[in-house]
Amino acid sequence: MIKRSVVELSNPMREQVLATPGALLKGFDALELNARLAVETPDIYRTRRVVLTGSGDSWFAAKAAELSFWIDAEVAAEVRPPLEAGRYQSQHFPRRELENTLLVALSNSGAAARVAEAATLWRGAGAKVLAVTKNEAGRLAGIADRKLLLPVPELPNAPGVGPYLFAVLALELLAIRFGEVKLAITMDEAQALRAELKSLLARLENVVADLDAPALEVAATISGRQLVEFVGGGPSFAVAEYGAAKLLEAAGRHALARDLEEWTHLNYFDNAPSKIGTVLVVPANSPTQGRAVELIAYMHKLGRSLVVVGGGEAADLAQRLGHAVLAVPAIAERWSPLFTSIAPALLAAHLSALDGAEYGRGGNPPWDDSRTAATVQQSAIWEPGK
Amino acid sequence: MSLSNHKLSTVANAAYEITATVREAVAASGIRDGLCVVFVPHTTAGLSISSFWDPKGLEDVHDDINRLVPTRIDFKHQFDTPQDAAGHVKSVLVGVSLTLIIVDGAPLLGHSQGIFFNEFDGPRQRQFFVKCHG
Repeated sequence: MIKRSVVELSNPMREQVLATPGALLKGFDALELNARLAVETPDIYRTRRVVLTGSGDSWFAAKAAELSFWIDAEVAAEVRPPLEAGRYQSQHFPRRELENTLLVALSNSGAAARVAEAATLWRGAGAKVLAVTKNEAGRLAGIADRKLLLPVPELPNAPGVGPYLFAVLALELLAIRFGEVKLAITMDEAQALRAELKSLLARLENVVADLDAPALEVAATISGRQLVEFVGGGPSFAVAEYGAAKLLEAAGRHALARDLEEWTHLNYFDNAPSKIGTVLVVPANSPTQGRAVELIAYMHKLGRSLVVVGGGEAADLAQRLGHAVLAVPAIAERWSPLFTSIAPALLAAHLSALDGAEYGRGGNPPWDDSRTAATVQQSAIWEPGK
Repeated sequence: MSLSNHKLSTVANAAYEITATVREAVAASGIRDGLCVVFVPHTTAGLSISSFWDPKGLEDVHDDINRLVPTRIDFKHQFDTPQDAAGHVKSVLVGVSLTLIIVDGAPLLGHSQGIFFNEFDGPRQRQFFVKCHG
């Protein structure tokens, strides 16, 4: 039983989660227009491959939206970390492939050094670069051929929730736009998809409200665990990575993310299973449901403190076995990160409040290098041959 | 004077004969002698009068309209799609209204003439209006 009320444990990250649905809904029309005009028609037709790159929340957003590109954009899409995309892929990929590639480089601040580096290297290799950023005058926007601006409003200062979901939404809208322009879907179908996305945002406030108190209960349950592992497959792997990141940023906790299948190869063998909290992200209509059910049996036998985020058969089994479920309404899986990401965000917010942890360790020594984001923004740019 | 509204669902780039609907609208108006305006409130569709005898002839019309205004990717209008941009041009060329003479309660048409709704985008939910004056 939680003695402190949710309100007493309020913190800026939780406040950001609460403010995000309204911000997304308010910014939707502007973002839709920006996504619609982000890439010119000839460049959409020129694009045979989309490479999405970003770091931190931008990486998770790219991974979360990859499936949308496959389904809605009818274009080959892949996600690469910026260091790999820049220093390896741009240098060694077949030249003709590079020239037909659109690099979608994400950085909310527009100042991430590695993302700027990748954008520079890809442009040098003949690719077009689209910057997805809040900062119209930032470093990344200055390098890219085109910009997709994120209308992210001022939100409570905390590890990012709103900016991450704005990036996810922007990419989902961009994927619809690609499909529409390439006539893979009709204009009416594209408009219907946009309307559906907007209607999901209208429901997001209720999703947050419904998850808030249960997430606090779960946070209290796993607060004594030494490690929290986040597990998911497909777009839910992005949510797992996002969850681990939020726990690290907000609470400084040992946290990691693992692909659903990889968990059986790796985390299964951890020799202290009772010291691990496991957050399994599995949306109700996901093709990962069956495998998740198999894993839950192993996790239960090992004594994991298990939380299922999502629904369906996996959530039912977890509940029957006495584990926690953070229920998330079933929606199209390619858009599910818009809903499921809320659970780990709230979990991290509540855990950091329970721990009394400062976000990013307050930028105090020995973490003071990160105080001005120097650790990710001030880094020597690699140049081929030097 | 009477105004009637008529709906249709279209597929991409096709002609739909609406002669019977227009005849019924004119008859329902009760006007024996006057004028009838058929109007399409869309910017990627149009109206035309053509022969109804051979459906292949209608395909020829659309094929040649497509040859005149091919769907291409360098239209300046990029808010929607290349097909939509081409549709705007086709609509302007073909026109969105027809004026017909009403004689003895029916539109005056030659023995081969049919009235056609031309879809230059699609598939879409479309409509047209018929207004009669006498």
